Amino acid sequence: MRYWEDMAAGETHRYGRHELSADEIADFGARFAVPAVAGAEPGAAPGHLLCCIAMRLLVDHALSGMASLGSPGVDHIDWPVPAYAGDVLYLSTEMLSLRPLESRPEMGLVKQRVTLSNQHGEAVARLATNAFVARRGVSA
Amino acid sequence: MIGFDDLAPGMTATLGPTGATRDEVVAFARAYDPQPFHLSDEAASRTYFKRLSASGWHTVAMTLALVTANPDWPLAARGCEAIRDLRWRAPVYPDDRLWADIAVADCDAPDGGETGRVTLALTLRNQDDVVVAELTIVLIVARRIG
Repeated sequence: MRYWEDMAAGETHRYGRHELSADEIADFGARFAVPAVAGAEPGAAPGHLLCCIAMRLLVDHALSGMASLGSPGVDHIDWPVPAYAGDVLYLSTEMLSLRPLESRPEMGLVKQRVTLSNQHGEAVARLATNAFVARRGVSA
Repeated sequence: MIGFDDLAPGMTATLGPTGATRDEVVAFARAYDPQPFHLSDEAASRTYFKRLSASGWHTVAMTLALVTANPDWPLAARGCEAIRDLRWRAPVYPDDRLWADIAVADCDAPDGGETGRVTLALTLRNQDDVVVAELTIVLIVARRIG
């Protein structure tokens, strides 16, 4: 299990593989009438689906081995290039900063740049995230 | 439809309610955010959330649908450019009823273009008037309707 103390600014990782299918785009659109990515052609994945895919890859490959205590939010999200059915997506993360929380000594705040990219290495979603991570040996 | 030219900074609206059932909360979490505290009351009881709560991404999905595809406020949204300052302030639980307060923060459009850029500040409240999420969304909206 990785705790706040085990992480360092500048650390980068690359995770996962997600084949985007027409069915997934259609199913998500049927459940949630979320907006398209500005400028995308019809049939593109909605931006919010890409955020959800990024979250799933993060949970499967990073958070499952991390003493994660949730997230207060995301500072910025955009979608530089649209994603379409057949694209094969992967996630990369870069740890930007870590700081202890004076108000909650049992955890620290981790800021990361999370990027979902297509098979050409083009970013289809970029998220500036915040995460609470437990500190080693400090009980709540 | 509500087009770009119908909006101006300072305008406000309140839309809702929306929400999700326990089955919907768990189905969403299984698909996109399978952290234990979003899958069962038992796992959630040992965390900040206390009991089963919705993924923050599920909350955002409900909010976006409520604001950008709502027959009660039929915005001619053509796409989303960005989301900023997304904050999950409090847990969203199954069967919570959620309302979105919308404030138009900024409008800008090139002369003669068919669309404009509209920035909306959104605050999501539950049935107890507790703010559960805040976010700012940047949308492309059709300028002239019909």
